[in-house]
Amino acid sequence: MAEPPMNTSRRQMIQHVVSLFAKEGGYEVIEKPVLETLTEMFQATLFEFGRSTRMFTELAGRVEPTVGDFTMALIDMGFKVDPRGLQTYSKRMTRPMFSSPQTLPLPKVPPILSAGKKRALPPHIPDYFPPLPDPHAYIRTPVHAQPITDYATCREKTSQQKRDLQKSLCNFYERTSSCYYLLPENESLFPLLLPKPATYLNPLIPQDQIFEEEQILTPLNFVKKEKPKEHAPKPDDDEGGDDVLATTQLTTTPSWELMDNPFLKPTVLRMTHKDVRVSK
Amino acid sequence: MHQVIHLEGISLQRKNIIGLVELTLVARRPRLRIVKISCKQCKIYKVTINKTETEFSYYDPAIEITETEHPNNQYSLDQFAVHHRNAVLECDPDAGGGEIVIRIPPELSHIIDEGRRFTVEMEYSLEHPQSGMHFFVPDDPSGQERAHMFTTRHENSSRLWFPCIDSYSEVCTWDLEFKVEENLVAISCGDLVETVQDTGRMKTYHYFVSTPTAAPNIGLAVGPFEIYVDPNMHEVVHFCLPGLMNLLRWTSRFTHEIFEYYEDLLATRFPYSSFKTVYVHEASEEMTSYSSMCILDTNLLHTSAIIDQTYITRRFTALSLAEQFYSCYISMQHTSDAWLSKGISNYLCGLYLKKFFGNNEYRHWIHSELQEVIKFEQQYGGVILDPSLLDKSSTSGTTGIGNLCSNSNNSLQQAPRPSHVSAEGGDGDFYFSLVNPQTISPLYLKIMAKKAHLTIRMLEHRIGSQLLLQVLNKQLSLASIYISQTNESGNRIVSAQPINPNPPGTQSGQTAPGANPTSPMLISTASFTRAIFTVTGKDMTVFMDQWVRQGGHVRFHMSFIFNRKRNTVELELKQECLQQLGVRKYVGPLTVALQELDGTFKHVLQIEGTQAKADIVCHSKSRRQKKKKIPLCTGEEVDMDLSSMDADSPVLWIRLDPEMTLIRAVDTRQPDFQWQYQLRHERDVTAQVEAIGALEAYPNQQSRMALTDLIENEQAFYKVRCEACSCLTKIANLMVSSWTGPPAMLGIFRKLFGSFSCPQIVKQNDFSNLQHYFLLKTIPVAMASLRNVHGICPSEVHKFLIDLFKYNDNSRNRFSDNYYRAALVASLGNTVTPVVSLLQPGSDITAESLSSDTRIIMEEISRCLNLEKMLQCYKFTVTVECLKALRKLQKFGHLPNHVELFKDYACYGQFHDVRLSALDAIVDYTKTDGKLEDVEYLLDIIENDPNPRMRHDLSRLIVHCLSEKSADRRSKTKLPFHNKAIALRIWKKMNYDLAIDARLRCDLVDLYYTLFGTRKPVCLLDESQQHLADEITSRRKSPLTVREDVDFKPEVVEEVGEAELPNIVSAGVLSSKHESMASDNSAELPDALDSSLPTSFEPEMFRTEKEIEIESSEREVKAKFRSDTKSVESKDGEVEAGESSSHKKHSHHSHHHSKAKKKKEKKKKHKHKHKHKHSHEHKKKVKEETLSSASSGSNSPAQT
Repeated sequence: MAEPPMNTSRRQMIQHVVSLFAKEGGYEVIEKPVLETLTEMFQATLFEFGRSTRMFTELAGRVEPTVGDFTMALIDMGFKVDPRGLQTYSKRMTRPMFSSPQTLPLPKVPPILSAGKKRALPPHIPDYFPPLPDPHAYIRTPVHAQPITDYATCREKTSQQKRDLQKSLCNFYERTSSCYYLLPENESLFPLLLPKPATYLNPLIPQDQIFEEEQILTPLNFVKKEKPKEHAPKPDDDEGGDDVLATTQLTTTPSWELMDNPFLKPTVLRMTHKDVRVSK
Repeated sequence: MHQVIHLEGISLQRKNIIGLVELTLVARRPRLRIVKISCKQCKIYKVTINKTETEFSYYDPAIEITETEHPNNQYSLDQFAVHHRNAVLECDPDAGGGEIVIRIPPELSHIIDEGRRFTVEMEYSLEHPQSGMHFFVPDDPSGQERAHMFTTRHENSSRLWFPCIDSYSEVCTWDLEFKVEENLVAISCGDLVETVQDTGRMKTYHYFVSTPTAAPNIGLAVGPFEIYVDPNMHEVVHFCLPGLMNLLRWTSRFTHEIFEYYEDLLATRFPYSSFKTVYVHEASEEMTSYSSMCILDTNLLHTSAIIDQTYITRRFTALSLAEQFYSCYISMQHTSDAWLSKGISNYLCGLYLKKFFGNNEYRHWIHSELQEVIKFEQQYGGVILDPSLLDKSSTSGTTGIGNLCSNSNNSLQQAPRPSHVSAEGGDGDFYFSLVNPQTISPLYLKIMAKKAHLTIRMLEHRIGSQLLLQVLNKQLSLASIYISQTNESGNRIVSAQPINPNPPGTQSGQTAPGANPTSPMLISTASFTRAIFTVTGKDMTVFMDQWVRQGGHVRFHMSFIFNRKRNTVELELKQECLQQLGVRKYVGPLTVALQELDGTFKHVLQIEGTQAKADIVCHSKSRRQKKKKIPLCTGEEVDMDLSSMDADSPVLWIRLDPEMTLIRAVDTRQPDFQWQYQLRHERDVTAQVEAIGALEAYPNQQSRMALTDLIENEQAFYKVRCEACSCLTKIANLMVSSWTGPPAMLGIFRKLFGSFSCPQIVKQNDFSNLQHYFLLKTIPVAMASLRNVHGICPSEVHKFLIDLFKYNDNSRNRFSDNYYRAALVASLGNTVTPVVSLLQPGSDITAESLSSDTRIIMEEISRCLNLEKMLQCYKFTVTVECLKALRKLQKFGHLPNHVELFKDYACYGQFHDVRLSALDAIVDYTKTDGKLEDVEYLLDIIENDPNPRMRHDLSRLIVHCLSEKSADRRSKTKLPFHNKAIALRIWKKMNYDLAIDARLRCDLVDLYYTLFGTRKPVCLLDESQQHLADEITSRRKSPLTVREDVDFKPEVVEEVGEAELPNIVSAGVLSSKHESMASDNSAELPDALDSSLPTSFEPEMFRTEKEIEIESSEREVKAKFRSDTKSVESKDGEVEAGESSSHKKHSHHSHHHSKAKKKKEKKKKHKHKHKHKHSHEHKKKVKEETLSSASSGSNSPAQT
C-alpha cells in the first residue's frame, strides 16, 4: 500500500527507533519483514496510547492530557505502571541516542510583488475594509505581444492541432480496444482498430462532421390550411354570438391538418366496421 | 382475370408467411383438364376450384438441371445451358407452363366447357425464403424493432412468394390483404382501401389494384416504416426506416418535379392514383419497380451535404418513375420484348437527366454507355435485344416454343428436342440461353438495358423526338381509354387476352410478338413497329431487323488523304474484323462531319460494302496569312492558332457519326494536330473525350499543351477535364525523359486550389463550385500515377499529397468532404510501385525493412482508417479506399501479404461497400497467392451470406476480376480456383441448389464459364484424357491460331504451352453428341470462342520471360515494361480482341511495341530455349508451394 509521503517519514523515524531498540536488545542483523512487523506493532501501540489518553482526557472534560490520563491509558491497555522503574529505565546508561530529526527549513514566503501603486480606499468604502489589491488585479492592462496573422503559420498551426487531436484520440482507442497488427512483431507500428459491425444508420448518418440541418418548419405530414371565409361564420352561428372574436381569429390564423392520405387515416376497428356493414 | 392475395400471418421473427390466393380464371379453350400455376419455394396445403378440393402435383424441373450421369459430357456448360433452358421453358408462364399442375375435377368440367369463370383457391405458406422475399431481422435484441421484410425480383419471379401466373403478359386486377403486427406498415401496390384493426394487436392492410397489372409487378414491403407524405403531391408517399426521416425529406424533395416533367413530356397523367417509394435495408437491387410502388435501397438516401450520391440517387428516382409508365403500366407481351420497356424507360429517364443535368452530361453518359456496350459485345458477343425470332428460326419451325410447351403438357418429363444453344445466338454465341431471362447472365441483362436505351435513342434520330413521344403518348392514352371502358362496363375483367394456362398446340403463333394486338396494355416489338407506322408513316421493320433482332455493333476504320490538287479529302472507310465477336456489317447512311477553316460541313455517305471510299470536296481553301475567325458547328466563331496545321489542307478535323446515331465503334486515323484541334475547339463533349483517348498515343509537347489548356479551361465540361487529367498523366509518363518543369498538373492545381497568399497550401474546402470540386478530387489521383525516370512516384508529388492531407480543412464547408478524403487515400495508393526488393523473396517484411515513404503512407492510412472507426463518414468511403490502398501496398511487397486483415472487414454486419472492397482485396489475393481455403472462404460467402445482394455482388466481383485482369504471373489454370473440388462445388451449387435464386444461378454459370469455359473443366478430366487433349490440341494448332500471329504462336505452345493447354483441351473433348446437336455452323463457332481463351494467356507467358530478360539487359524494354503495368493489361485485351485494338486507350503505341517485342523474343527464344525452360520450371516450383496439396496433385500431370 502506497502511503502518503508524510507518513513515510514518520514511519522511517519509527523504524529507526525500533531498530535502535533491537540493537540494544543485542541483535546484530534484522530481516526486513521482521523490522516491518515490529514497526507496525510499535506504531499501533503508540497510536493506541494516544487514542486512549485522549479518551480519558475528554472523559474528564479537559482538552489537554495530564500524566494521570496517560497512566490510565497504560493501565487500560494492560501495562503495569511502575513510575520508578520507568524513570530508571529512561535514565539507564545503555540508553541509545539518536540525533533529533532534521527539519526542513520552512520555505520562505516570497514577498508579494507589488505592481503599480496601491490606491487608497475610495470614500464610500469604510476604512475598516481591507486595502485594495494591486491595480493589475482589477484594472485591464494592455498586452503588447503581436498576434500571428501570417496565413501560412495559422493554417499550419490549426492543421497541426487538429492532427494532434486526432492522433491522441486514435492512440487512446488503439490502447483500449482490440487491434489488428500489420507487423506482428512490432505492435506499436500501425495498429489498426478492428471494425465494428454497422447498422443501417451508421453509413447514412455520418459522424465526422456536423452540418446544421435546416429546421423543419412545417410539421410532417400536416398541411397548412386556411379556413375559407364563407365557412367561418357557420360554426360561429351554431355556437352562438359570444365567440365572434375567437372565430374570426381562426379564419386568419392557419390551422394544421393531417394530409389527406390513406396511410395517415386512423385504423378502422373490426367490430365497428362490421356494424357499419350490417347497418348498410 | 382477378387475383386475391391474402397474407394471413407475416412473421418477421420467424421469417415466414402464411397466405391464401384466389385466382379467377377463364379457360380459353374448351375441354381444359389441367391448370398450371407458377409457384416456387412455397408449401401448398390445399387447392380448391370453386370450393371443391382438387388434386394437384408439384414439379419444378429447374431444381435439378442436369440430372443423369453423362459419362462423357458431364460438367460442361454446353450441356448445362441446354438443360437449363429446357427446364426453365417447361415452366415458362408466358407459354402457359407452371410448376403446379392442378387437375380439374370432372364434375367441374362443364364450367370450363361453357367458358365460364372459375376460381382457384390455394392455401400456402413460405418459410425462410431464399429469394423473392427478403427478411431483414437483426440478431441483437435492440435491432429487433428495425426488422422488416420486402419482396425482391429478378425478372419475373413473383412465383417465389405467391402462386400466380408469373408472366408479364397476363394482366389482371388485384385485391391484396396483409395482416401484420400493430406497429408495422404493409406497403403494396394499388390504393390502400382501408386499414382494419383486428383483435390481438394485429391490423390488416387492404389494397386494391384497379389497373390491370401483371403478377411480376406486384410487390410488398412490411416493416416499422416512417411515413412521409410528399408535401407537393399528396398522392405520393415515401417510407423509410426509423431514424432516416431527415434524409428522406431531402432526397425526395425533387420527386414531384420528375412527375411533372414526365407528365408534360408524355402529355398524359401519371397512370396510377398513388405512388409509394419504400427505402429498405439490404435491398437486392438499388431499385425495383412495382406497379405504383418502388422499393429502393436505403443507401440511396443522403443529406444535403453529400454531393456525389445525389447524381446516382437522382438517376434511380427518375428511372423508377419512368418504369412506372413503361414496365409497370405498359407491360410486355413476351419476355423477349423486355428491351422495349427497358429501353423506353431508360430513354425517358435520359430525357429528364438531360434537362436536369444538362446536355453535356447527357451526351457523356450516352457515350459511356455506348463504350460499355461495345466492350461487352467484343468480349462476349453481340447482344440481341429481341431474341424471339432468332429462337424460332434456329429451332427451325418444327419445334417452336409453343410446341415445346404443348408437348410438355402431355409428358412433362423430357420432351426430346434438338438443342441449339451454341448455334442459337448467330453472332451472339453465348454459353447461356437467350430465350428466357431466367437463364441469362445478369451482366448481359444490364448491358441489354443499355443497348435498348441506345436503340430507342437511334429511333429518336430516325423518326424525330416529337414523333417518338407521340407514339408513346398514343400507347399510353389507348391503354387508359381501354381501362376506363372496361371499368365503365362494370366488369373488372380487364384482360383482353383470356388466360389460358394450358395452351393448345396451335398457340405457338399466339405467343409470337405482336400476334395479339388487342391489348393496349402490352407492348411488343411488332406492335411498337406498327404504332410507329400509324403515327409517322415510316416503316421501321428494317430498322428493327437490323438493330433489334440481330446482335452486335458496327465498327469502322477511317483513314483519309488530302488531295491538294483537287482540294478533296479522299476518305476510306473499312469495316474490318467482321468475324470478330460482337461485330457485324452495316449497310446504310453514315454521317461524316468535316471541320474546315470555313465551318463545319456534314456529309452523308451511303455505306454499301466492307470497303467504302469517298471523295469529299472541301468547301474552303487553305490559307495561311489571313486571320479570320473560324465558325464551328454550334455557330460560334473562334480564333485559332493555325500554325501547327498542315499548310495545304483546310481540314481541321474529321468525325464519323458525330451524333452517335449508330451503335458503333469508330477508329479514326488522323494526325495528332487534328486531334489537338478537335480537343481544343470542338464543342461536343464526346468529340473531346475521343480526342483525349486518341492523344494518349501522341506523347509530345503539343498534346501536353492542348490537355493542359483544356484542364484549365473553365468553359469545358468537368468530366472532360477530369479525363484530360488522367490522359495527361499517361503522356507525362511517356515523355518522362523530355519533361520539363514541375510534375504535370502541379501548377494547375496550385493555380486553382492554392490559397491566395501561399499557393503551396491548399485553400480551405469550399465545394460550392462543383466543377472545381470534381477537379479537386481528380487531379491528386491523376498526379499520383506520375512516375519519374526510375519508374517510381516523384518525391515532389509525394510531398504534395501528404500536404493535402495535412492542410485539409473542411470547417467552413457546407458539403461533406468524405469523397475528397477518399480520393486522397486513393491517390496515396496510386503512388505505390512494386518494391525494389533487397530481401530474399520469402523473407518476412519487418518494421525495419519498411521504406520511409511506406511509413509515411501507412501513417496516413492507419490514421484515416482508425479515425473512421470512431467518426465514420458517409458510406465509409474513406475505409473503402483505405482497404484498396492497403491491398496495393501488400501486393507490391511493401507490407506482409496477409489476408486476415480483410476478412475482418468482409464479414456479415459490416457495411456493404466496405465488405465489397475487402472482398475485392481477398479475391485479388487469392488470385495471386491464394490457397484452396481462400477460395472456399469466398464460395462460403457466395453460398451462405445472409444478404442476397452480397452473394450476387461477390460472384460478379470474382467474374470481373478473373476476366478483366487475367494478365498475371500465374496462368489461369494455376489459379487456386482451378481445382477439382471447387469445380465440383460450383457445379453442384448451380445445378441442384439454386432453383430458387435464378440470378445467383446465372452468376455462378458466369463464374463457371470464366474459370473453365464451356467444356468439361480440365481439372475434372483424368490423366489419359488430359494427354489426349494435349495431342489433339497440338494437332489443331493452326485453326486455333488463325487470327493471331500464326508463325509465332505454335512456338509458345511447344515451349511454355503446357500450362495453358487445358483451355484448348475443350477442342478435344468436343463430343460427337455436341456436333450432332449443332447441325449447321456450331462446329466452327466453338473455335471462334475458344481461340480467344488460350490466346489471352500469351502475354503473361511472355511476361515471365520478359522479366527474365529485363534482368539480363534490354534497356528499352525495361523502360517500357515499367512505365506502367497497365500497358500489359491493354495488350492483353488487344490480343484477346483480335487484331483490332483501335479505340482502346493505348492502341497503336503499345501495339507496335508488343509486336516488335514479340519478334525480338522469337529470335531470342531459339538461343535461350533451354534457359527459358529452366527458369520456367523454377517459377513453377515456387508457385506449387503455395498451392494446396490437392490442387497441385491434380494439376501436376499437366505441368511436368
